[in-house]
Amino acid sequence: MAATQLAAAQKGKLTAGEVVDRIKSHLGIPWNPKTFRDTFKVGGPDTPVTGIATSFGGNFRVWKLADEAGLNMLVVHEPTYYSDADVIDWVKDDPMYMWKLDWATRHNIVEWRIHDHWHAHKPDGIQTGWDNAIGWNKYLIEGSLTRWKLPPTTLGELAKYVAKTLNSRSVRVIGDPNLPVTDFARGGHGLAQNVAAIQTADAILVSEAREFDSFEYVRDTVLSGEKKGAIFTSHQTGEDEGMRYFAEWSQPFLPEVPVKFIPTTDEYWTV
Amino acid sequence: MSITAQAVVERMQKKFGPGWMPTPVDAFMAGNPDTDVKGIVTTFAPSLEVLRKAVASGHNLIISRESPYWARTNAWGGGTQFQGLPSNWTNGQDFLRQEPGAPETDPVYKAKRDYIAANNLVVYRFFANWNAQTVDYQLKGLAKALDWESHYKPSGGVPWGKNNGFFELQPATLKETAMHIKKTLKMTSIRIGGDPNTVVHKAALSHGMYWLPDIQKLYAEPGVDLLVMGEPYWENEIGLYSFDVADSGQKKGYIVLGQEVSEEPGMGEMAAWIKSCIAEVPVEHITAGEPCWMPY
Repeated sequence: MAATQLAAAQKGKLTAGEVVDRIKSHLGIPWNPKTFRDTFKVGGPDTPVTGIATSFGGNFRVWKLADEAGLNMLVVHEPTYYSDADVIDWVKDDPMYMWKLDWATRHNIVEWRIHDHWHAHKPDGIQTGWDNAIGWNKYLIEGSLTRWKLPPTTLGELAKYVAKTLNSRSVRVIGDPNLPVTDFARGGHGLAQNVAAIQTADAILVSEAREFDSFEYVRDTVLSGEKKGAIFTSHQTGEDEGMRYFAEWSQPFLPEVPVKFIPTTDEYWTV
Repeated sequence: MSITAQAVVERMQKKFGPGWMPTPVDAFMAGNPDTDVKGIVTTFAPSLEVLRKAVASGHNLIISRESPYWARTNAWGGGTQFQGLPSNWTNGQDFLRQEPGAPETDPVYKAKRDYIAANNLVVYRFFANWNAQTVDYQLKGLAKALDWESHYKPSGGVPWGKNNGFFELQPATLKETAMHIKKTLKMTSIRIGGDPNTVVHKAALSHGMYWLPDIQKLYAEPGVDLLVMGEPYWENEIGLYSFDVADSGQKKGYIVLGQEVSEEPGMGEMAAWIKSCIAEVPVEHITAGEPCWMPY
């Protein structure tokens, strides 16, 4: 009760700039002042904060859910205006940009992005959140954060588990569904990461990779006779949970306001 | 009559006309260009399976959209938007950066290299110049595969030009449309966004990787309530654009086919195009096939 009263008493006093300062001071790593990603995307430091919503994307659905929950500050991991550097020049004449900005202004939204520094946090905050969700920490191979020794399963069962646990309808798989899997490793967005990872494991898990290189490389791996496979998820499915962890991590040093995770979710469905 | 792989490419350049650009992408990626060609195969990706099928058919020149060793090489990937980036934008998401492929010691690389050598195969990548043509044959091929040609309603400009793939369809819900597309293209891993009950009247059709300017133009076309696309160039960037369109109250859905599904039909168009200038040897389109499946 005391905490609630404290929150009520200070509500409206905490500013977005103070929130950011507090995040910076708790990260435990030096701040890179040259980052173009980890900056304000909507509004600025002077906006009073009623509550904080964390999410993967700065997309409209997340804003709307935050607003409905009375949370006016967004802390997101990914872009708002559809390019990694949020280049306004590319969207300034786009009705979607103008509509979104207008909506944000009318709803007193302030948004700040944390990408580089959340990955740089030790351990990587995005990976930690994903690890918590998938529940495999007890299977991590000693000394590694990206390789697991799983109880014997098959590629097909594993893909179903990933899809169900992470609530995704867009998981895609290359390889024999009956392939036995115990050694499982995390790949990456790039071909080189996946080439390296698949040689250490029966199968790999990849969050958004290019189809013309990583997918084709895994296809050729299987066709060459190697008993391997890969499970591909969307970028959202691969990183959303990292921002749930951000909410859990930051709430203790932001006691004046609620910090809630709003899943961006993978909006795909299939038939 | 015999013809070398080099001569086949020169014949294609001649048919193409004076606009042919020298690029590091449209080049021999494997094998000896002086090899006598027995037969030509076009394909999206020269996977080991496609190579084996080519050998079984007695064909030894493979003309592909993607590289046999997976990595795209550089800026000729087809992008349109690199103005206005911050000067410190150095992240690996920049596809101008060379993405390293498999090292030469990699077992998959070796298996493929050895198979190509043992069977005297030649692989030529035909991508940037093919894409630079006034008519977008990749678009045309995909429209044909969908049986949408007779529904074509271009938006001014060059018919069948880039980002000019608009089709007025028999009204159906997004879900019904997706099921029909999946069946027609014999797909296994279709991905859909938007309200399943949205009624689709007019579709914008795209293929391959798409960038922000592409998606902006396609969504801006009056009456479009469905985008059908290949592969978003980063789900965390323009992938979220489709989310925002669907969630901002516009009744517009989107269907993501995947790179291979969206590009393979165009390689059939390429086979016909090559056939029109090469009479000496057979020309055949062999599909690489959808690489993946879904666990649902």
